[in-house]
Amino acid sequence: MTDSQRDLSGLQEFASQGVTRRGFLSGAMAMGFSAAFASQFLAACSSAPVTPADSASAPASPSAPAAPRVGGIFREGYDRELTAPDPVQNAWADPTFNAFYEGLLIRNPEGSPVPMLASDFTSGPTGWTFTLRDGLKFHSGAAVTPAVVVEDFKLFSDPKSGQNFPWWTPITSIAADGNVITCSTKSDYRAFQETITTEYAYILNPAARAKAGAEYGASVIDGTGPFTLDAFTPQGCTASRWNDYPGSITPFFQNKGKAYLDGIKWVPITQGSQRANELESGNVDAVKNAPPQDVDRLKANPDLVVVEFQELSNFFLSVNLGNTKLGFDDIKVRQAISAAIDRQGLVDAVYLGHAAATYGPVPPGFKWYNPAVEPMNAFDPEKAATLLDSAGWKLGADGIREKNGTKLSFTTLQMANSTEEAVMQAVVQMLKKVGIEMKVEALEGAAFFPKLTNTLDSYAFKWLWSGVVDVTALFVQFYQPTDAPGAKTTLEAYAPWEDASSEDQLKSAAENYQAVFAEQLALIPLITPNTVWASNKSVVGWTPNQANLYPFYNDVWLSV
Amino acid sequence: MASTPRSGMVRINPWILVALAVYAVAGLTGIVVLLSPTMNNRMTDTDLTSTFLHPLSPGHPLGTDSLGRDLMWRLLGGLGVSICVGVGVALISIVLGLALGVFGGFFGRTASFATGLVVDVTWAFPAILLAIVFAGWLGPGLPAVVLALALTGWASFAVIVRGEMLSLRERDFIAAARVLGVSRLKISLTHLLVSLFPVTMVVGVFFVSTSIVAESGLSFLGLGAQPPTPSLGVILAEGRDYLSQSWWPVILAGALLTGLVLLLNALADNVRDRFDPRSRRLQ
Amino acid sequence: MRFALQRLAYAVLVLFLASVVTFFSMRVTPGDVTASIVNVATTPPEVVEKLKEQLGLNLPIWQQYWNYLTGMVTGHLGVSLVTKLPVTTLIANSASYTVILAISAFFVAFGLGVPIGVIAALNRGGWFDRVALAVASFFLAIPNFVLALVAVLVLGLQLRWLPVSGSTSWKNLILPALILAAEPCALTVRVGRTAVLEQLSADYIRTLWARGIRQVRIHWIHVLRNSLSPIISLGSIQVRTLLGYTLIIEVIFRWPGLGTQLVNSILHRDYPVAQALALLLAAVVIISSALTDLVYRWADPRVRLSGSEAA
Repeated sequence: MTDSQRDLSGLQEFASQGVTRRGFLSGAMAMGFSAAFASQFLAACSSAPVTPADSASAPASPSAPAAPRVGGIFREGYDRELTAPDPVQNAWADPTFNAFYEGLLIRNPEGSPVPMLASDFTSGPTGWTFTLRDGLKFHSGAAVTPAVVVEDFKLFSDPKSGQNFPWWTPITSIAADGNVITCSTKSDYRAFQETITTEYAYILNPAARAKAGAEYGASVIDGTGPFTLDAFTPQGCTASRWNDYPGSITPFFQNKGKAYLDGIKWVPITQGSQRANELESGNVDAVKNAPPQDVDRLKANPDLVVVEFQELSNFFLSVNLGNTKLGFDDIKVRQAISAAIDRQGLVDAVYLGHAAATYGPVPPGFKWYNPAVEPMNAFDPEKAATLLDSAGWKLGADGIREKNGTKLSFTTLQMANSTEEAVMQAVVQMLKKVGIEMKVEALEGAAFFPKLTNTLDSYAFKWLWSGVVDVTALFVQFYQPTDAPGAKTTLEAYAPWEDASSEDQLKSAAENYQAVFAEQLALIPLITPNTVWASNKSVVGWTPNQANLYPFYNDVWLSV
Repeated sequence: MASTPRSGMVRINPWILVALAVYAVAGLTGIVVLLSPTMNNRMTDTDLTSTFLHPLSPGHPLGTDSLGRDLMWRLLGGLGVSICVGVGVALISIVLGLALGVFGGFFGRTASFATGLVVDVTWAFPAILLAIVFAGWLGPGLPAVVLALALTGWASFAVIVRGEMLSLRERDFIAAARVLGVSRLKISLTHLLVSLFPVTMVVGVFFVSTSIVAESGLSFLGLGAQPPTPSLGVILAEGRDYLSQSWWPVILAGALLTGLVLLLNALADNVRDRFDPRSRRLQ
Repeated sequence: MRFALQRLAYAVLVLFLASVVTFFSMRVTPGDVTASIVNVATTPPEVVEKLKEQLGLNLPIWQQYWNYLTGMVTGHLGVSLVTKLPVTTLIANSASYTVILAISAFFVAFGLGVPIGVIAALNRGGWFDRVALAVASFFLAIPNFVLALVAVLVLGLQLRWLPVSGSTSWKNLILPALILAAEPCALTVRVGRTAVLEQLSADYIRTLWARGIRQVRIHWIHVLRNSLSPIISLGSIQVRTLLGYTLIIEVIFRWPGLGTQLVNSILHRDYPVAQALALLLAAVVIISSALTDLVYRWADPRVRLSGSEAA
């Protein structure tokens, strides 16, 4: 075996067992890979999606009876910087993916896989087959053949190229026969349906990608989506309708032909209040995530349509379970921290009501949410003080508790974000009232992630993920010392969920896990924000749903 | 600039001094309270049940912010931070500028050239980059800001000092003193300090006011003071997010900052007029 | 001509030193560049290493500096590590925004500032003079981001006269340009006024009077020309200040210029973009200062006679 082969096998091992999919996932989340991986876990544990807190399925636009109008440029404000959309390697999947690319399958609003480029698919103990539609081509005119799809799949599954490769490791071979692409597996791999429907399995022209090199995604995009790339700059990305689009067979698209819009422009507007202002002043037609302080104002505006539902996320505080010096290994200290935090106060003040107080690991809108977690972590400063007293942490002269000469004082890292920073500032004060001194340092991603390890004293983070049960266990597994009792107990309670074989078993496992988690507090849950989609009334067919991260553009048209 | 202090007897406008004294007292109060472990909770205590209180609310004369913190105390703390940063940066800049200016002005053409070069490179270096570099090394916070501002601020003063030093070198009395056996550097320095006193005063006040603005600007961008330290820039940045809920944090912090800079600028003008009759004549 | 060449050589030297300082200060700042490109936590270390190798980040630092320098000289600025766009495209794009903003502000500042300053000087002590000076003092004192926030609050959110964010129409330019111009304009008023007053009291004016030359001609031709040099040197200082100010103004109004780009690239540790931008900004300052020296010599004959100590 040559050295390079050994390297490669090391990678494979790393991918398949050494670190497990879970390992990759945890890192993925930490990097904020939500868009890429969100919903991978739906399948991994065949769980149900979180049910919306509000009217999630309400369309963003009134279902106007008028016939769709062709033409116009749709301008969409986005809450992040845009990245170059490349399904093989990309730091964060943006809404642009849905305009330029299509997958073999896609998730419908209910979360089930439905045909897109594949006309049919099967799944069984020997693997998956996809029947490719006839007459498909890329923007460049190149034909979409089964061989091209196989080449894409090999890029996705190769650890050297595809960032999503951990989810391809159960696939033992990829081959085409006639119009049918076969992905073979050793046993049933239902979870693959989630991988195949994400942005990172969208079909692209591998030859165009190889030719464009590092500039693929930025200046060249060759996909099959209803729009082609005009220009991509950090100030925005523009796309034009692809007039040769062969049409769509996706059941939940109303429009089976080419797009109505002449073009789309995505505008990154990272400052929250600017997103609201620019929607109101007509600079953009729609925005993703208006900030909480502007939601009521936007809702009161008769020219706008606002859709709000609970995000598949949770903002939490973590203290290191292995830190015996600060007493974080002591369940009483963690429970005291939790009891000192007025979550509803945070929801009302910082989010102005557009969030949900969270007392257990998962968002309260989750299908199998266990309300028993709420009394366990209710706001009770007196209980917090009693717990700390009984744990041996006595109030010092300066108002900070001490034990064995150590002050209960520590620093928490968080990512720079004005709303989350406001939450942490309020939490600092709540903890101070019970004699705990917490300092907060807000860092940009490039400085934050290198510091995130399982030896870090404390950090606060918001995950965004559709596998809400798994994600919490992953953070415990990878950013807590797993030999600490608090982590052990939590992960033991998680095991039955992984092994469940029926809906009933999943339900009881989830409920039990939540109760154990809420008691052990391996992570201290705080808040689940709402995600808010706002658009001008003239925008029709722009329908965010909870199964997909971003709306599709096939049905979008502008009534004015 | 070379005129002696006695030549112009313009009186500093007493109202400026009174107003600055009020600011100083307020700023000092802010600093004392901020540094006092038992009292600084007035500036940082949140009260989520009384957010966005208007000015003149009971118990909160200037209202509260988005986390229900008392704005009067936060503004006082912010003012204290501003004054500390301003004075700190001014002192470091003047010492650095003096040192490099004397070096450049005294040790011949090469030294003069080298100083000029360093000054020009400093001017070409974006201050924001320096701020981010120091924030990376020291962690974001006020020490990083003070260093970044001082290390860019000194240059303009060094140019003035060097010019003064160069012209002093050529004067007759230096030659005369040399004949008498007095060290040339010593003479130059003595005369330099006397003749530089007025311009140092003006530049010093100017440094204080520009540093105060720069600190609040960097803090506004999130590169300066870190929560819970109140800084006028932080109050402005937080207020900006909630501009549609409450206008007063932005207006109050902005007015406080503008007033301070206005007074410092007026003081600088006054001091200059006092020492430089030519500029007074033209007012 | 000789002076011009000397000045040019000096400018190149300063630029070179600035490139050294910006390059190394950025590289020693902690932060993981690969964290901005790939998912460091999930990507196997081998792949991250390979990536670093591809990006030339594993080379000795001096080698990297050399590559960067030769790249700059030959115009190969590379591609952004984060967006994959060519650095030249990125800079050309955002520079166009900054140039439009800065030039608008520059014209407002001097177009308003010089006439106001001259009129104030000619009416010394009159109501116009007093009002102009008071307003100028106010605009010199109010930090531009405070002015920007007040403008956003009043004009944008309350009265809704002008858009407060974005860059889609010429209306978006009005607020940032006016706010950016406020301080330089106030400064121009004061400096211009002082310079004109100084000239008015000069001996040659009395001579001109004696020769019977018309007052308007004296004021607007002779006096103004001789008052120019302080205004010009002010202009050079303004370039530096304006560049610093555009940054914060761009952020507040979401004007996608160089300042926004610089901050973002530094925070992401997107070295090719950040270094090229820092050097570009340095070059602007250095060139403007060299140009000022040259223009200054042209405008003020006394400087021309006194030799080349100006460097």
